[in-house]
Amino acid sequence: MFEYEGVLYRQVNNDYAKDYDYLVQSGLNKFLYCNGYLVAHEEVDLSVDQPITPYKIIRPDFVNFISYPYEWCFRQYRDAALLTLDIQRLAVEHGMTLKDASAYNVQFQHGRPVFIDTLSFEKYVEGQPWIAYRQFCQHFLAPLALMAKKDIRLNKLMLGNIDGIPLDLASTLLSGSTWFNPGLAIHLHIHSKTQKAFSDSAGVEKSRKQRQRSVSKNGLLGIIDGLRRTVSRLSYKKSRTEWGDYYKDTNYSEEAFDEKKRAVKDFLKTIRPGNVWDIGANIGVFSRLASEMDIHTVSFDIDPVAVEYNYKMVRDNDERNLLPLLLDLTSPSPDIGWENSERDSLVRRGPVDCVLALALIHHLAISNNVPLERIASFFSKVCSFLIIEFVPKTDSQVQRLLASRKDIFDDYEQQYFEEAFGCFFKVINCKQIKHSERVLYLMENKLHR
Amino acid sequence: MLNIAKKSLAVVVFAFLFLFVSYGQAFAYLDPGTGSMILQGILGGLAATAVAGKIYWRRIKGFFGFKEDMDKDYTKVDVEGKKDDRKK
Repeated sequence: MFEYEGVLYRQVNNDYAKDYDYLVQSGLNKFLYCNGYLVAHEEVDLSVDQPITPYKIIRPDFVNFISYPYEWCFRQYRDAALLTLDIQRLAVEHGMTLKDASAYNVQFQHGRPVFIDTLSFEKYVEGQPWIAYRQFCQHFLAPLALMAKKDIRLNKLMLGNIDGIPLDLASTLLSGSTWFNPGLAIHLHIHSKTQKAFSDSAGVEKSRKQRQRSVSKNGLLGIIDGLRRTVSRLSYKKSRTEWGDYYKDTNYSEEAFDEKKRAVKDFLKTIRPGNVWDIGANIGVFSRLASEMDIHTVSFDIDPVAVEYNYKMVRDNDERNLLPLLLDLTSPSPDIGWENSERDSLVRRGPVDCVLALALIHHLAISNNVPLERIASFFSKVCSFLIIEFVPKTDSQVQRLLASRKDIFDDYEQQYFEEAFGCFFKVINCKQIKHSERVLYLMENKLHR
Repeated sequence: MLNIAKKSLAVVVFAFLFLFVSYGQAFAYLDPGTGSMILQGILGGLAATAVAGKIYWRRIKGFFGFKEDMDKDYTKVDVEGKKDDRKK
């Protein structure tokens, strides 16, 4: 993979030539692409200096925003897992197999999961087991089972385990009752025990012959179908969280809410951004103002229930410009992997044309005690334009936050807010939201252009 | 009927696998991939047998005049059950 003049290319090396040609000739590539399973790619004639002479160079379609499994809600994760299994089944039927089943090979584009690794397919030899079975269980089954059976937040374990959650860890964390779920018992618990049993040196010796054990094509398809049944039956038990009912529990009157929507829309029309991040989006009401204007919008929220609901709406209504994701802004996704450069941090995936930060600042400044200058500094690193709402101390939501802590926030005033943000941004427009005490600002980054 | 038979088979298989893989202690974590391959060998054998069983069961049902279920067409199955409009 390499970048040339701002465009991402992939190099097909000579040792992969046979598999690549088979992918194209077998019709699998076209079938997967036409059904929206696989990201489209185009073969290009590009003469660039590469250490290894390429067989071919391909240019995959641009993915609007790269997201990672620890940022997905349960349904996104499950859809990604099912997509991987469906692709593997189709591949086997076309005489190919997936050599990788990494969750990082799935991205969300136009509201749906799509497989992005065109070079993950290799020719299937009858009798050969699925080489990526273990990886699938670590990257998909283990986190999904933990999210469904233990706690919805456990996809965060993927952050500390770059090659998926080790099966012995998943097996230990899951309750004993999951042994009664045949799929989880086999593919997680027994799988983990089998790994342990054969990982010691004596086991390796003993298993050398057994390792040659072949798996018939029917057997392989049976395993894939079994995994699919297990994954599709996992469901997430809804629980009430802080944000799930936010819009039923807000101090906005209907008029003020409509007024705020109008103001945000006007600001968006003024700047016409190419892409938007809505940070603290809840279920994405304001994100949709942007996405419905054909602007690619990432709708971030800290609450898994809100993101779940947001994604359900995206799927139900086939919304193509909206990507709901989980994000804790006080500790956004870091750079992880080899040399800290395999998976990018949130900041590295920016900057974006415009950030929406609505009803957010009081949570950062008061609940998390982040100084206003530092909040402004962060936003200046990730966007050219900022639409931000200032929520004064007198607002009932702020009063609610202050009820449980000492008010040490003397600087939390509109004037000081303007000064702090003034160091990094130029205020273009500012609007008092009628029937509320809140003020909406449209700001431009001073370093922009 | 087939479901009951399948479930009973599954219980027996679990018991067998549990006993089979519970022996010994792993002292060094050399290669977790070996266990994965071996498990697939066992599961693949069982799955293939189940598929063969299913085919014979259908034939028997067909012989007695019961209508056969059609195989699920995976190319039409979407992650959320509506593959047909995936690419718009």
